[in-house]
Amino acid sequence: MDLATRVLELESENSALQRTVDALIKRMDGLLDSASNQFDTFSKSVTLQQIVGRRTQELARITEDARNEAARRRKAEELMRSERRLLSSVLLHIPHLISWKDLSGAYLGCNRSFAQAVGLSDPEAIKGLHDQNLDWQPAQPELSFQREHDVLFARLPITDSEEAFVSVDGHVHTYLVSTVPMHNGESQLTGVLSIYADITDRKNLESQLLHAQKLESIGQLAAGIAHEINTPAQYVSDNIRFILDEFHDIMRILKLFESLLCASSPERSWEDRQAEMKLALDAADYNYLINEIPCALEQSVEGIGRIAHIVKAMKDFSHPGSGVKERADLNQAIESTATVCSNRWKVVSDLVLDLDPQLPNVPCLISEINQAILNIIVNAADAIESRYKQTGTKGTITITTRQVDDHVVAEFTDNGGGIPQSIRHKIFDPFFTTKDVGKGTGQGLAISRDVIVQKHGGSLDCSVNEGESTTFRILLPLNAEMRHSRVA
Amino acid sequence: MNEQRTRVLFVDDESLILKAMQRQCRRIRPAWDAHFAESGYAALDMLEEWQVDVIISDMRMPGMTGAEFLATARERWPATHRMILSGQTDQSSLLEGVGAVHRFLQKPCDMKQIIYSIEQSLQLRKEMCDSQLNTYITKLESLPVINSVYRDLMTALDDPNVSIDSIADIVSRDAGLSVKVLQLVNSAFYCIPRRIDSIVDAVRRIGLSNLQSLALIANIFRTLDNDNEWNTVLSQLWAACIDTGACAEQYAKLHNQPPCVCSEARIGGMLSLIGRVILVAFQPEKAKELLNIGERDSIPLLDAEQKVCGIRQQVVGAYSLGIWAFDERLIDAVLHQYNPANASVYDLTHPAVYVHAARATIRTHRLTDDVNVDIESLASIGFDVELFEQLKHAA
Repeated sequence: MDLATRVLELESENSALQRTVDALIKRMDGLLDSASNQFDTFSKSVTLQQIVGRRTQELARITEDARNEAARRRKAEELMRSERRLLSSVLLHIPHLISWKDLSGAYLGCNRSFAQAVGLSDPEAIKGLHDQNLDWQPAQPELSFQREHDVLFARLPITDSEEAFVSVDGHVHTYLVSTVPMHNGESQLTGVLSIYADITDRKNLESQLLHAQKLESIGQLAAGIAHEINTPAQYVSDNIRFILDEFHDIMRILKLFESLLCASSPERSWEDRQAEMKLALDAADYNYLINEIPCALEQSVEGIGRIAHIVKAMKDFSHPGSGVKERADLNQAIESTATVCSNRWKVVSDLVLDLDPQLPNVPCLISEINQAILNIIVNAADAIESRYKQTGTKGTITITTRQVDDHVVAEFTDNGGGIPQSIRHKIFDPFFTTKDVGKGTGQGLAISRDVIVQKHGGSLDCSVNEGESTTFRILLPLNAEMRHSRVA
Repeated sequence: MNEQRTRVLFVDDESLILKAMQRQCRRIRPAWDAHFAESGYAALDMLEEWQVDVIISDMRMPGMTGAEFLATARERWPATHRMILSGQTDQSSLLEGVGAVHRFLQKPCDMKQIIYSIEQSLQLRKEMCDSQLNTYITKLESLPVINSVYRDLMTALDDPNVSIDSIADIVSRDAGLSVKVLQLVNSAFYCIPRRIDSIVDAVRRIGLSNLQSLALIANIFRTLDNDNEWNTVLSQLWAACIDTGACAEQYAKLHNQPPCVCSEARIGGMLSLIGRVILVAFQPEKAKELLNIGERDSIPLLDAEQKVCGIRQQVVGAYSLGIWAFDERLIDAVLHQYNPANASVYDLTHPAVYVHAARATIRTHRLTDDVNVDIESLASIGFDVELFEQLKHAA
């Protein structure tokens, strides 16, 4: 504002100056006329002539300066105007939401996108409002508060904090929020400026991809699980039918015994009756039955236990989780996931579990960790299968867990021959796969790493013993909290 | 050792399954000489020692897979009857690379059913071997019934999110299959008021689950009907099969059967004459003789068939369906189409009843023989006999 006024002032000063100069030139012209007359009169007065000449030059210079100054100021003013237009146009059209606040948390201004998002028709209306006055609320208020607080406190920017807000229409939008401190000329902190990038669509795609990958693996697992359940179902049902059939025979024998032992039974010698009983027992193959029936029952119980175990593992594995990190038993997650996919490894590999019984529960999104474990085990089984297919022998998958300082480490080692050097750097790339078309989407490891690194602040890496084995190592922090990624 | 004892070898990597089978076997068929092996290797060792009539093998085993074991067994002991008892559920992987297996059973399967299937299958094979058709058995066992379109279709149908359009695309790639899909959907028994000309509409109408079997059947016909002077007859037989299938499905529907039974009834109906198709395709000269004898001596076609070919068409059909891994109930329905009371189960839940009724209803060609219906027997299990009279009259 000041500048515009100043420009106007300068413009009027300038035209006043111009007028003075013009008047001066007019007067000088008059003076020159009369001087030339006088020259005729005092033609010998050289001094006067010199003075006039000098003054004329001086005057011309002043005039020139004044003209230059006016032009320069017009140019500066034009530049200023175009920059201002650019800035307001950027603020106006940028899809990102931008707002700035003073130290007390009162809004100083915002752009149109922000105003629209919070349900204001005029960006000017935001001035003086606080967050609680708006129809636009953060899904986790403490997270937003913490962000601004951290920026003001540390005087350092925070970039790309992922936060959800409930917008005016009731929909939840996810934003990447970056907040920077604002300073005045004397580098005094005056407030914060925040920029919000709406990533809701991308998040939806991501979660769809995650979901699709999970569905893909569940689909692939379903046939295997059915096979795992069908096996015990087959022998349990056979055994129970056997017992049922034999039970009828046993009942017949018991009834016979009852009648033979009954006091009112016909007058027959004890030996006679004994012989009949023995005959009945032999006919029913009694000695075989007293051995086989308990075995059949025990094996049926074992089979039912196996089915129950698989069903429980499926339940553990497919647990959707609450969406927030909860402390979970990683050992149990590994056991359940290995059971769920046992059909994929059992035929080709032995599984050695070396799980630390003292392992503390890890804060994590268990459903996504299960998925990562599954991807790694299935990859290990596939590697072993392709290595040992010809030889007809079994490979080994070894899984260990332990605590290292404030981290939990899970290592998955397979002796499937390792990953060739040439593709080792690509294994975490999305869509990279060595499997046949239709057998893998190449999403498994990419998503697993993303989940472990981005959502857990952990790590997933891989080391190879060329020609021998591959080890995947998952590292999860025990003290994981909701922290913002900070720009150093 | 008694030469007549049936020698059976069970192969499964799960010892508890073998133990349970052993118990059941001992009880139900004490006369059997049953052996049990926990791996393909152990089974091959046993085969070296004993002559075995039937092998029943699991598919997924460590070391040597069931497919590898059965392939070796087939090569070394071709006379052995081979059956699969598998817990795997996706059919596409089952059919791959197995080669000729005579029967295909799915876990869990009642031991009584397993024994029934073993005996039925052995009996069919014996009849086949005794007949003059025995020279064709090898040919029959190596018929390539699975082509790439069928394979693609199976893969696509396994995908739960598959769209009708993409299925219709696959069907359209195969002119023969497209024609048969349209024929089926326009069969009078579907009672669709307007003619359907688009594959997409036809596929939608038929339903995805039925398409797979239709593709397989279409493929069997195609495999059989090349360069045969009886091609016209075969295509007429095909038309009769289509109508029989649609009719059997109607009967099942009108008896309020669940979709799976209706579907079995239709497939069973469509396959009911597959044995005759094979006979005509393999021995065209016999087919001529067959018709002549039938007309000259005015004896039923089936008896003429027995006289000329030494075998009845339903036996050839049932035997072939076993090789092509069709479901036990379908094999039963085809085998007992002339007398459903002999099927493993004789009630309204079994497709044999509807296939039987449909065969008796439809008669469009001289190679589709008359089927006599025992009205009283059908009525006794609750079959709507009036409906039968109506449909027969309408046909």
